[in-house]
Amino acid sequence: MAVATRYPTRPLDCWGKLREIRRKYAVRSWDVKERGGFAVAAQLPLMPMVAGIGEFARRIYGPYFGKAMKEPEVLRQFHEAADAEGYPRGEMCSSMHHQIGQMLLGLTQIDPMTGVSRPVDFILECNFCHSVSKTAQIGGEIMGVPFFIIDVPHTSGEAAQRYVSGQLMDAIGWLEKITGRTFDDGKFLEAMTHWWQRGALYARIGETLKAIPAPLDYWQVRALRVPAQVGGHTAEVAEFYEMALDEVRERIKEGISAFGVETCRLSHEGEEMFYADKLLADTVMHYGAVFVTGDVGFNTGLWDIQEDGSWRAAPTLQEMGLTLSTREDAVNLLARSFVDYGPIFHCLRVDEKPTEMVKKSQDWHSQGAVLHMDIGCRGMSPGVMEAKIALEEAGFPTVSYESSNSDPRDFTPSQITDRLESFLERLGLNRIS
Amino acid sequence: MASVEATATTLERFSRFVKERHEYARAWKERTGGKVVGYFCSYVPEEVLYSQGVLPVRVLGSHEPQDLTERHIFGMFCPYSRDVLFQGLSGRYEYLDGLVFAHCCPHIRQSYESWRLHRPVEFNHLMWVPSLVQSEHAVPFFEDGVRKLTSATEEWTGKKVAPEALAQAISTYNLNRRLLAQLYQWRKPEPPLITGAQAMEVVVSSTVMDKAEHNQLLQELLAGKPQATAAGVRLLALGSENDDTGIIELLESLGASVVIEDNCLGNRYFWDEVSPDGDGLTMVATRYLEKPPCPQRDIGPRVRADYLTALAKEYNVQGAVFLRQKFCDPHAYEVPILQQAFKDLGLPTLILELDVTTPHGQYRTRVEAFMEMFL
Repeated sequence: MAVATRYPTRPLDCWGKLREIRRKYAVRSWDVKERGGFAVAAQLPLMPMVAGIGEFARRIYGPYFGKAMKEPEVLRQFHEAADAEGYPRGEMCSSMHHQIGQMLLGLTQIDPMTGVSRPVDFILECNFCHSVSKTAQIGGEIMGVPFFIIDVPHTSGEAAQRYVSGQLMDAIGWLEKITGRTFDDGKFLEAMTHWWQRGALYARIGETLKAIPAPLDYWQVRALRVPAQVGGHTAEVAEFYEMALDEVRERIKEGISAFGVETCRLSHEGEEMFYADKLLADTVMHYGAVFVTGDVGFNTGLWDIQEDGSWRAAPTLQEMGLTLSTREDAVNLLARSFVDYGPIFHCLRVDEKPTEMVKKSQDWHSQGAVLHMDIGCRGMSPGVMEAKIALEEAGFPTVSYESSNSDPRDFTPSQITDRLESFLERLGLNRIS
Repeated sequence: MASVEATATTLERFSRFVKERHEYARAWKERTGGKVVGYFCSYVPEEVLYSQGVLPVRVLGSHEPQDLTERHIFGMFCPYSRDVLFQGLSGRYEYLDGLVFAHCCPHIRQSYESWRLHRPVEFNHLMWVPSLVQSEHAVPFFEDGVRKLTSATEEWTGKKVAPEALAQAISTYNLNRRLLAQLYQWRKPEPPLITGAQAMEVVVSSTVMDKAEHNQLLQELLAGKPQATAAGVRLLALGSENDDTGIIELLESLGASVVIEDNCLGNRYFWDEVSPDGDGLTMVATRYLEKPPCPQRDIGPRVRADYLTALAKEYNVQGAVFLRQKFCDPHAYEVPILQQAFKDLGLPTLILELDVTTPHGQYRTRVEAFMEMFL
């Protein structure tokens, strides 16, 4: 029977700054054109490159993503719009599926605060999974805007890096052509430096969860990714992560825990249910258990994944002894961030996943793994079944649940809660609240 | 010229080679002392293996219910990926010396990885296939992969590939492609001179046979006297990997003539030849990226809609049937766009989802209803 040891706890001080950044960029994403900038539907890792054309705001295809995740009925409407057009439910990425629905409903172009139409100017996307690139293609066609896709192979090596670098150089030419602006290398270099810094720092925050008690839980770390999503290429956001990392390290020194109790440490693998992420955290919290690893959050950082499967935070540019001086320097570093340091570009390396999951569980001192068999994700679900076997063989109990990251129609909360509670009881835990 | 009966007999031989593919590969191995490699995707550059005396055979499913793969592969992965993994785990391909995988999609990759993990073979090789095939950087990247496959195979077999051997392999494969293209001319007349199911068996047999032997058989067939098939509604069958002739036979038993298809075990397998000019490996890499792309490789400005409508016109089709493996999302993403493209040509469409086994009763009803549209 696990003993519910109590630890001190308190909220993070940097939440306030995080909210401030999020609010600022939310407003800027809709008035960017008034400021002479561009509205871009772009994948996160390409933000430093887009900075080379000057002022821009990043939007995803579904600006109502957050609203939809809080209001399942709204989310259902988006899915149904995609269903009606012939994009089959449950057979493609559920996150892209509802965003296609938003595009078909014309919402991607509508400012949610004023209802005014403010169209996206272009799409710049990464093929980190084919769902994303196919959606970019469909998005370009629906919205009638130019699109450019960078194909990123899920494999390392010089040839892969050359392939990506070549396409990134082409993308710069394309950006100049469609915007009519001269690409500013200085801005690109600066953005790339900040981008790398925030990625390396964010991964370090993830690493702090190895401490016992964990200074934050996985879901809190995942919430900290928001500034990276809205302005990860800026000095302000890089500074935010320095501040956040300092604060989390201070919590470790003071023995501050995530919630005041830690009876058990758990790993989560597979994309999370964006509309119901609290369900998992809340369920285990009643037993005093804490999630210490997960996919979507950790994938925001830059990681140096070792041959033995261990995840280490990527070195900072200073640690690498690297100064960016030319466009080629920045392009090559961006390519490396995909090929060598971006775990999201690692997710199809199915053969490495079992080893990585076991190593992560060992390094983060996890005592069991919760695996999401995600009907709505083709990129992160490969390898999870084999990882389940590997984890069990390595002595980590596992439980799996089937659902969809973004389609509540494939979500049965009572079943997930039941499975999770049975698992926690199997681990010898009792409800403590 | 051979008689109508002799030509029909030759066609049956192709069908037998598909059904008895395991016996064929074992006999080939015994006869030649060579190695046999299983592969999973039509982007594997077979010429490289063939030039080293290795027989590449495409791994096909057997379309029978099973639960052996449940522990290893997610239930929402495509039926083909589960079926081929079943072949590996159940030992149906125990004679394979190696496995080569060209990354085509995450589902099949899982099959490859689980197979080699639980049923290890002597030689494994995974190569990445670029998706943005239109990019000028794609061929050099894929060429690097082709060269790595060459080196890995050389190390495994202990044989260096001589340029002459590669040229010979390219020539043998090109002849096969040319002969298959000639055979496809038989599908253009009304009524066609070969059924869709027969054409499919000829192409599928090519993926599991020594190409030199297949060429001889094809030459024999093409020198023969084909008989007009029963007239039917001319259909284009397109979609995911399909190694189940049963579904084509079902369509044709209900008044259809499948006169052309678009899938990786049909036209996309043999369309376009390797240029004999220039460095052999470069030309091999170029051919594989320049052939008609699968949806996974159509991520830039869309090309498949124009290519498919041109194909529909060339073969004078009256309708299109999507044969999509359940959970195959690259194909799912393009269905609405292609349906519209066919609609613009006045071609009705039907979507059938393929599973490991075909629900003949249910599909019969749906196909019958579809065929009534042409009355």
